[in-house]
Amino acid sequence: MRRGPGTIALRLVTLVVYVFMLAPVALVIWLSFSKSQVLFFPPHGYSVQWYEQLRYQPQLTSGLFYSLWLAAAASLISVAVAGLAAIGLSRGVIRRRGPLEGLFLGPLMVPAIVTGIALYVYLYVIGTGLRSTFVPTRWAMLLAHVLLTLPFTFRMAYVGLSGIDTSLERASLNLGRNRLHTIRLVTLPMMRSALIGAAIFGFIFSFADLEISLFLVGPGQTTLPVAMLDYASNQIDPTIAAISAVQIAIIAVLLLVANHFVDFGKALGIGRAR
Amino acid sequence: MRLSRRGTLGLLVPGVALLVLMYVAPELYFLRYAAEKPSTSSLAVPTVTAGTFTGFFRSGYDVSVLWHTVAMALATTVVAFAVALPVSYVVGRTTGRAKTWLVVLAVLSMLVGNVVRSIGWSAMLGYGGIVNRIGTALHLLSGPEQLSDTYPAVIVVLVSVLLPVMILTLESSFGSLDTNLERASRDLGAPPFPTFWRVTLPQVIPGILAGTSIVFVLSLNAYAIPALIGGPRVPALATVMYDSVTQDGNYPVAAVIALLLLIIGLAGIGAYSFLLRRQFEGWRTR
Amino acid sequence: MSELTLEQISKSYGSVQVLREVSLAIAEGEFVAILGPSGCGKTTTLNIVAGFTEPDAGRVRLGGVDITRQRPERRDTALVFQNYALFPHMTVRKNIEYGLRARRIGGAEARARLERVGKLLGITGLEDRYPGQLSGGQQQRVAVARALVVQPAVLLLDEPLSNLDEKLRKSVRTELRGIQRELRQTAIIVTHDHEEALSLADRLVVMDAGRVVQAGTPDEVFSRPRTRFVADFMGITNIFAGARSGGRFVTEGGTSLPLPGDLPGAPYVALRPSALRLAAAPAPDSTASAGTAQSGAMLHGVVADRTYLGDTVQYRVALTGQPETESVTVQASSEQAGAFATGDRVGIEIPAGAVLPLQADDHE
Repeated sequence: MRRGPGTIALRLVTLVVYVFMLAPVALVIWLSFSKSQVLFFPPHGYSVQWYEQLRYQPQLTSGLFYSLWLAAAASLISVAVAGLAAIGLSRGVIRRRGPLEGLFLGPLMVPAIVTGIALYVYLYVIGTGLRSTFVPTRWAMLLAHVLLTLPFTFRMAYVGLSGIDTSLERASLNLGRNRLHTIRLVTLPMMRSALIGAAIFGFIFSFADLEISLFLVGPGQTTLPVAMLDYASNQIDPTIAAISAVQIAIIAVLLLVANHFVDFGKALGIGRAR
Repeated sequence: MRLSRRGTLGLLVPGVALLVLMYVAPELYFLRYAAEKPSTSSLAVPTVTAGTFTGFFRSGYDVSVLWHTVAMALATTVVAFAVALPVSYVVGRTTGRAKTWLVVLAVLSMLVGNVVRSIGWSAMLGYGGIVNRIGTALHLLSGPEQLSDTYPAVIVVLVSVLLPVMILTLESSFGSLDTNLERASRDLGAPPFPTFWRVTLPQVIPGILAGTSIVFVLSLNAYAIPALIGGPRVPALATVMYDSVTQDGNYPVAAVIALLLLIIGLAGIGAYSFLLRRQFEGWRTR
Repeated sequence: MSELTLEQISKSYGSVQVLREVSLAIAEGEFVAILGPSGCGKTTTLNIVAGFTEPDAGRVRLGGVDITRQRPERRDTALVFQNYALFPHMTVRKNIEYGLRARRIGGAEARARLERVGKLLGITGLEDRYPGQLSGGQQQRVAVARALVVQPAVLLLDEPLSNLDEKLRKSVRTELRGIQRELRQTAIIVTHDHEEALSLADRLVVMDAGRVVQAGTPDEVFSRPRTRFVADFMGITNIFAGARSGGRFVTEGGTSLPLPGDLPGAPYVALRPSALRLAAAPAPDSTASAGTAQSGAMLHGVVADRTYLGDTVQYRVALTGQPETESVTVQASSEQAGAFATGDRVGIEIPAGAVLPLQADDHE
């Protein structure tokens, strides 16, 4: 339709709001290059020293590597479980899909922080019963992160699956392959983009998560966000800004890669108003 | 292609078992602590009592935290909605590369995590930070002030952090609108604003309900932002829950809070489903 | 006075010129059809009249007043959309009342109008239903009712019948015509269906690539198409390119066609299929030179195919000695022409009125 003064006003508002949303992110990156330790705005000088100094921040660097490992492992496991479950749910003999779909989206229903505590308590009690320590361990944390990412990976795999042309599967069966082979040779390859997208988003969600990890961290096993929160509670300085910038960069790159494989709105299912 | 019973089970069992054993069970197990009494030596005293629950409500402090958290969540939701509305309208209408960029930026801001954004805001709200600077320059403030550790600060940051969620939810509703409806309205004589109010907005109500309920629940459960921006002066249910475990070792109270968060959250989602269904009763196709 | 004039309207989107100096005048009470293929600019023209787009150049005047820059809500036009655009969250009644409410017409007057338009469109009884509960045909009527109820100076219709099925289309067409006549409503309909345009309009405006190619009464446009494009669009086949030569028109393929003496030379000629007559071939030793396709006002050939269409039969005749591309289609009523079969040798008589000279298209 025609343009009027209203359109310009709306666009201006959009710009302002986007700036408001992204300002903290931009600021953090900016401040990470500030020369002095005391943060001035605008910075009085620029330097990359804080990035170099990061290696002297064991909490932060070990947090980074732990989180990277965690995110990679959790997303892979999550995609595997979710992918198979999605295939099972959509192609399987089930009378009512609803409850099972709900189950897989379950972890979204309960606040992540509650899930964190619940897992801690549960595994602690089981551990004590078995005279073993299950928390805090990497495996408990990994489990938590798989649960965290499962709703998203499941959703993306499920949506990806529904976009596949089923006649290709039928063709495969018709030509003689059994169902297992068909899944391996036809279904899974066709789900490739959805699964890759799911893995990337799973990685990002795990990498950036704070709440579920809060109770499952242990000595030497702190995730990056928790380590960052600890540090930031004491002071906000270029060091924390630098590690934040690193985190932002990793996520941004992953997002751009994901953009190739997946259409965001649909995949995240955020736009679905059911 | 239909799988066999064995095939179906084989594919589903890992996921279902994982969820039931490691998600549902722990949640239920933990929530039952709400019915127990706090203990200093173990996790809790194994009894069944309503004492912890009622004790929560008898504590003025706890009740005020509950009230404040819900109020903050409501305020955040309302503000986020008001701000997101015009933006989603624009983004929903945009097409092509511009749209991709707008969506990617919103998604990016959402996915970098609450901690990074809280850190950014913390810097912005500091004494030498950008907000104070601009505020003093525009004579809105008489001098640099303590901006963080206040309720308004937490709400502002929550809004900033949750805006992308609201925008992405709403923009998809706006994007799938039939533009002819707006044209029809204008053609019949209604100027742009009444058109928006009487024709466009009712169409996006499902998106609005979805967005507001998601944002409400997320702000209700927020931890990082009240912790970093609010500090001790702005306690929220999530931070109190964390403290009661790590500082007091009081699992029953933590469970009570968890239960409250769950109930209120579910109430929010329930309201959404209810309103949605009522809305569509009349217009459904035959 | 609600005479609508478009003066030299031009519009481009980016590098694409959608309308080139289009001018049109529509008298009060006239039903004008803008006809053309997709992309010819007809919908853009409608949007400019309605006010959804502004032209780059030119003026729109309604009753003498320049409304070119006027906003859609202020114009006295009402549009019936191709997809009806009924407000799904409002009942039929609220939909129809919408325009009245916007013009602050309420109370008894509104009720009276509602009733009248309800009867006119045959939708009384549907007032409390929602659009989602109506059939396509009913939705269309409500859309028309909604537009008519505000008594606009000009009613605009954007391919309103294209979403209806065949049978419904014909009956709705007749109804629309009746309503327009009864109300003496000035109306513009945009369509790509020439039958629709011919049956509804007082005047036809044929557009192609942003230009008005021909305007006139249905009879004028159909029986005397100006250019090759118009003839083709009207469904007239047997269009041949060629040139005048010695009193006849010789096609590119070499067929020599009789050209009535008083008609000017033209690069194309069309033979109206329904005006041609099939006759049994004359005996081989007649005056016709053996093996030629024509003699005098007659063409010779063999029936290559025969298509039975119910009321009429269509024959494709391959002309003797001519390439396949020069076959001629003859359309005749079943009684008159039923006798011929594929393979029969036939003669085609060409009465004077069957030959139409056509100009080249404007952009050639």
